[in-house]
Amino acid sequence: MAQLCQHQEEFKKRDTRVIVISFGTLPAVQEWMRENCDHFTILLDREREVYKAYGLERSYWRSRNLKTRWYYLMAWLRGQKTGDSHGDDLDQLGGDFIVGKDGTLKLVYPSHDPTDRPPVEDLLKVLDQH
Amino acid sequence: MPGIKKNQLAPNFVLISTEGEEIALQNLIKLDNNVLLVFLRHLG
Repeated sequence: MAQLCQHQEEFKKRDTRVIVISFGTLPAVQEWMRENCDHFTILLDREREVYKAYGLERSYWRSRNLKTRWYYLMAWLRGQKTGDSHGDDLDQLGGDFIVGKDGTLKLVYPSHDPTDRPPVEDLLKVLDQH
Repeated sequence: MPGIKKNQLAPNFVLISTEGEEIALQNLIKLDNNVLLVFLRHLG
């Protein structure tokens, strides 16, 4: 997310609105925005209906695999605030999707595990191709 | 899991923003925008 925030101008240049969707509560999302990124529009999907519509899965094991544990260990060692789920579902996976001006999906990227996100360069490349 | 695929029409949705505004995907596209949707995990 930090990377997306740093590249917000690159998305603007490509006529692209970045929309973040969260199933967190409003106070938790507002706190997260203050600490992470307040440049993008954030939409709330408490019931995760849109997560389901976009085929995003839940996985106990993939949410706790070695790569993920390592990521959180490193974040903790760097002094980042981690571990507070605000009571939300730890198993829900995220993902990234690009919708073109014609309304069709140009990128479909459901995360395999919590550390799996497409690099910003790849997102920009997809936008440049359409 | 629904089989969502590249090049298919993106499922439309209407959600409320943290500012209390109702936002529909369709309307964002009508404004001649591409849209990057970033679905978060939990916020911890």
